[in-house]
Amino acid sequence: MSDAVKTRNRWLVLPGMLFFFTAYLLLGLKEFDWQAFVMAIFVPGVFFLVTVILPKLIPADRILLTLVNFLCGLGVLVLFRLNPERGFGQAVNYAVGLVGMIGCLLIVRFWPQIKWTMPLIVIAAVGLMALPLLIGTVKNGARAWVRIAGVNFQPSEIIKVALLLVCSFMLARRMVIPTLAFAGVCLGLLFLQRDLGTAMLYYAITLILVYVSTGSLTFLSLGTLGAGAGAVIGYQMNTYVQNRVKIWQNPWDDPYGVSYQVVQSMVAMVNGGPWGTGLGLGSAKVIPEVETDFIFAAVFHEFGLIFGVCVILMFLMIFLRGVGVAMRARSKFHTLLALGCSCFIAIQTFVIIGGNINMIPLTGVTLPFLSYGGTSMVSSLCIMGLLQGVANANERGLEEDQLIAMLGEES
Amino acid sequence: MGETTYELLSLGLRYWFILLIFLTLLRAYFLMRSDRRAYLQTLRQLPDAGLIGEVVNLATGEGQPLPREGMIGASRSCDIRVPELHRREMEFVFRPGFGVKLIPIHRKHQVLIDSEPLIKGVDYALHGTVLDIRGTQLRFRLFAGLDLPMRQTAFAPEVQVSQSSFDVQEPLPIITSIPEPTPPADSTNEMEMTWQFAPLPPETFEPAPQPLIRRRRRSERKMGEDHHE
Repeated sequence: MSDAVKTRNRWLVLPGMLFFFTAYLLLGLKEFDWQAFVMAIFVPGVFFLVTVILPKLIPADRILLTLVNFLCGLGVLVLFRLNPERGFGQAVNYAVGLVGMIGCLLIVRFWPQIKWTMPLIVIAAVGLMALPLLIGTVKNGARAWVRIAGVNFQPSEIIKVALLLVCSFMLARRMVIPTLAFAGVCLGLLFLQRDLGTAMLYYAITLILVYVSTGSLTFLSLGTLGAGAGAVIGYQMNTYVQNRVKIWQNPWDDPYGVSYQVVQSMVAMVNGGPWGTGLGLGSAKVIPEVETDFIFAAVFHEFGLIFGVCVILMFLMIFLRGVGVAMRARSKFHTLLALGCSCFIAIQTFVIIGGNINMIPLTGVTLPFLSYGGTSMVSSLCIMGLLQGVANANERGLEEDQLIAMLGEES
Repeated sequence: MGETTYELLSLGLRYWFILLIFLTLLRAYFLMRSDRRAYLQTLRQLPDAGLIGEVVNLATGEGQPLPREGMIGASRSCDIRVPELHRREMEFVFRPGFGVKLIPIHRKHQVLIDSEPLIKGVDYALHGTVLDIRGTQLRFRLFAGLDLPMRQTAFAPEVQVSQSSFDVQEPLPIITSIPEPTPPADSTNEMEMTWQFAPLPPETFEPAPQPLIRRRRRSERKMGEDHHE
């Protein structure tokens, strides 16, 4: 990143800091809540620390960092508005996710020294993926959760990171069949867990990475056909999938029954209008699972359509920036990794926002950075960490080229 | 705070929140755009960015840019395309401090590096290395600034140097003018001369323009010291 961009990044951070300060101050003034006043100082401070000070210690793409942290802060704000305990919980999840992000950045940076652990990563990923089938708990029809030492987590969220690393590594070495085998095992286990939303994401990412690495239209065609076949089989075998398709086709058939969630979401968004109801004045709490699956509807309801579109544009910018990082990458592994990370975030965002506005049938995936959930926040930030690692490698590669050119001139 | 007051304040601040997120987006967009322009400008100053040299087909004289890693073969998707070879013949990866590691895909196909069979552990190509794949000869030309070990020539004759060679016997003649460069002698294989006849650079007669004074990084200073040693 050029020095001019590094300098002007401060002016990118200032609107975000003002936003969080004003929002928490407003929430605090509603009922003179001291917790909100503390957050009004704490959140902008953390935002500044993470987006301006942290990149001085660990080289990172500042534009990506600012956009991602804004979205994380927005998620904490909305959750705090809905339920202060959830807001604090999400802030803790964010702190853990930040550590994960730095860890993943370092993994990419030191990958040449640790790539020998790839077989261990594959074994650990398959083992973790099989864990819910052995000791998992059922939630919302899917046996995808595991409780260990009092902590609930979803292994399929964590294994997203492993999937990206494994697929990128293997496809960079033209090991297409082992890649498909690994992805196939993960998909099979997800099908057994009935976590079809995550399975769909895994499938899409694997298909994209295989196509980009091989350039084979045959693979792409077969993969698309396979996706269609999988959708049909999933529809025939699972009644809740059939219900979701019926809800999508006409949610007004049973607005107080199975379609209640989607109907309330759409009503809330319409009530928000272009400018929103106003922070603290909305009633998004009536939407079931508003803190996880319908957080976007809550944002839309209180901040309005224009704000909601800006949030979508923010995700789009993160995707475009990630694709730019992938195109500047110096090795196939880095290119595939960066592209996989960007597509993962983009597809997941599209799926959940599309479900919120009833553009596509609703699935059980979360909105990255905003939805409440420790595993979701940690995995999203870890994916960003991988992307930051590739961006960092690009910067070092360019410096190396400048050094080579200079040394070549001197000799 | 009264409900009405809070309601008015909240309704008024809606526009403020929208303005702030819009400003954030706009700023991010302009920063991305200026970063891209700076990157493209840097690339224009570094036309060989991402490359480590060139591979020349000695049979045809055709040179292809050599990236840091890739594939040699006949397929169009290969980074170094040689029609005479198999679709995917060999992979290569640049390892700083070692050279260009060559990994044949098909073990049965004999590959020679500087007339020696390619064996594991001795499979690095350096500047000037000639790779022979079933009669197709490829010469590697690597950039001068790369971190490479010194190349050991296979058939370097032993030269006996006596002490008297270093004794100055008579003063060397003063060169008053630089002789005109002569083209290379006729050779049965003109393609052995991979360097084209070219006039001497203008710096020979005029001092080169002084580079901009810039603070050298520690790695560059160290690299410079090692180079001078």
